[in-house]
Amino acid sequence: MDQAKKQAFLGRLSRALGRDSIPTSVTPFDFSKGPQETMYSDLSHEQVVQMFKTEAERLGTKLIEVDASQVGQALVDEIVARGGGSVVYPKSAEVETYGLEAAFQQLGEDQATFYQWDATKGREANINVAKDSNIGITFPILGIAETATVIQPSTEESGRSLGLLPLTHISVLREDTIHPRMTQTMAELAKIYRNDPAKFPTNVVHISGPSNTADIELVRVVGVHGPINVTFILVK
Amino acid sequence: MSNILYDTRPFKTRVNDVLANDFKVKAIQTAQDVFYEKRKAVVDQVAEWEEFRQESADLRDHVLANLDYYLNQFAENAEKAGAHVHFAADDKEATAICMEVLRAKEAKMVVKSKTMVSEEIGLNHELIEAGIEVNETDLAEFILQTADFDPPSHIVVPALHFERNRIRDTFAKKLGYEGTENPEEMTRFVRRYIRDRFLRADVGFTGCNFGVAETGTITIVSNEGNGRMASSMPKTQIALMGMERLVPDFASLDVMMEMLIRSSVGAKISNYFSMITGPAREGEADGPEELHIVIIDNRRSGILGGDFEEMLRCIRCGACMNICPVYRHITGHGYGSIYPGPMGAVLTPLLVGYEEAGDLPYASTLCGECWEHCPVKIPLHELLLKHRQVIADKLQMRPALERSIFHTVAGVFANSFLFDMGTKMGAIGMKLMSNNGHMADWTKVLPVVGGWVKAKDMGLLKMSKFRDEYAKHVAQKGKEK
Repeated sequence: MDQAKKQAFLGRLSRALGRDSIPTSVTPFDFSKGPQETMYSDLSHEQVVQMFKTEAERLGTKLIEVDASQVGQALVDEIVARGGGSVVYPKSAEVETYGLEAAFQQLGEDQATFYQWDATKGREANINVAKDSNIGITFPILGIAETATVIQPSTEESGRSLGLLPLTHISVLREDTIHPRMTQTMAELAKIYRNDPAKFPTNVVHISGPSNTADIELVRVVGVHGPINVTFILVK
Repeated sequence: MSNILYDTRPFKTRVNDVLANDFKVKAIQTAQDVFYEKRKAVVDQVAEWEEFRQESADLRDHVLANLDYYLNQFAENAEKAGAHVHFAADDKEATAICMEVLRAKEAKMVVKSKTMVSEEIGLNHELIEAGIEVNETDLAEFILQTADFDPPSHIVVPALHFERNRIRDTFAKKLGYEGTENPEEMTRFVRRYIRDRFLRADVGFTGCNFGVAETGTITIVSNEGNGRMASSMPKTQIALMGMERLVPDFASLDVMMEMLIRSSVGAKISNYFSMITGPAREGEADGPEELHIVIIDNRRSGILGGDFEEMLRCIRCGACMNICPVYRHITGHGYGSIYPGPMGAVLTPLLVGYEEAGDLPYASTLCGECWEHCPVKIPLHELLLKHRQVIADKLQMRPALERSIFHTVAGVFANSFLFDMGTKMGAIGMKLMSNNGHMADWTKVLPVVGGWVKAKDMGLLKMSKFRDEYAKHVAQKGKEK
């Protein structure tokens, strides 16, 4: 950062605001006057999860609800339903927790081939697999009921490409991470940041369905640069 | 000429050009109707909408009142996260910073997701001059680029004035497209065409919807996924950000997103909302290895702390143009600015000066619908009026004839005898120019009068006015007593 340029730039702003220098502190904005913190506060968690499901249905996002013990089977079924082919999945702890590798073995090579994201193999190797994959699997950390949104951080174990480059993106989300609004999920993200800024994920993406556009005569077309199909698997 | 204006012909010439293009005008009218219904449906669901509007306006004002503090905090935290932060006073500095990064990276090809600021600084022109291949990746902007950078007609959906056949023909001619005019087929074609470029590009340019001061995070809203691609695939990312686009913290993003998406496209949320905090860390296998954030003033600091400061609340949703009766008829191209509609009519003169854009504040009926639909409560109609006051009173830029007419009118309106006589003479005059109770056709060619009677049936002033009738009524009552 060019300090002289920065000082000149910020100095112009201070002067426009009628002061000589940048204030050392600012009274934080008071969010308590806004409506967002109390909205949906009377809903039970079951009702919040139901709101997520209703919204996903309204948006046309495919939703499958299973117990933790059925995640492997549900994924296998969904991989087949989405046409199989090459599947890329992350190196995250959930793979073991849900026993996914054993489940994937049910499928023969003619049905599906699997690649586990491996950052140690470098950029090109991983992106090259992901770009030609039919299906990418990820494990988002939070969900928003009001908009049927999943929140996906990128990490060494699970890169940006997994939920972006393949034609179909399957997200596996735990129901106990679903909150009513972005109000609560932003608070959770702020907690993660404040806990250790140096470890905060460099990319956190909110995903609310398949990519789409209405740029040609306002006709809605699903599938532009991101995935064309999206499935959410909710884990009870 | 400023990069902000793409058409500097006289206002009336621009408008007449637009009015002659039926498809363009109808496309904008349909878009207004569609966006109106969609926005209304999602806003009606939020009982707390007005509270949210007030909170958003307050939040934006809070940021503006402390902009030096928050911008400093943002820059420091973005650097801590590993980003390179640059400050650019104007368009030239901003493009110079970008070109320097590109040179250092020996970049030959770039991809761009939507960024209004890049239009503002004329980045594409510089890139092409330097022999760098530019790829706009937003579908609408890709269409405009393929059509030799045809100017945008809307801020959110800029290629609305292209009908599908014309898009097909353009793609066929320029890109060898062989498919039909089906929007889905053409979109798939563009997906394949651009996908390859996303993967090969040296640098990805993005905009920034909101920068977060507490964390140094930049955020990108997109539906097509091009914002995600441009910030994930190339090894270098350059994010361009207008200096006022800040919020204090993550909690603010909740409030701003509540307003932005509902107001812009009439949905509860965009398909994608990315929060990017620094470049990819060592050990990550994708994402930018280098992230540059270019913070741009370009005459915004002249707005801060002044009579037009409320304009800096703007979050570029386009709700004001989706409701504006003037925009409905003259479309984005009537304004000749990359910022059209009511927000553009207020902002453009502030960014380029009255000399070049002094006609824009007059492209309004001052009805106030724009303000009512604005998610951050910018009193656009009042700011437009304020512009007119500056132009007429302070700068004396209006024609001498107009000044003397208004001077005379003010004298007449202030004197009841002259007013009475004036309206009587008006009634007599209109009667002389009438035909069967309407203004005669030949009056359309008269100066001043023609401007009024060409577009509507004016009716005629009555010889006996309300005041005469009322006086008669009072006299009658008196007699009855």
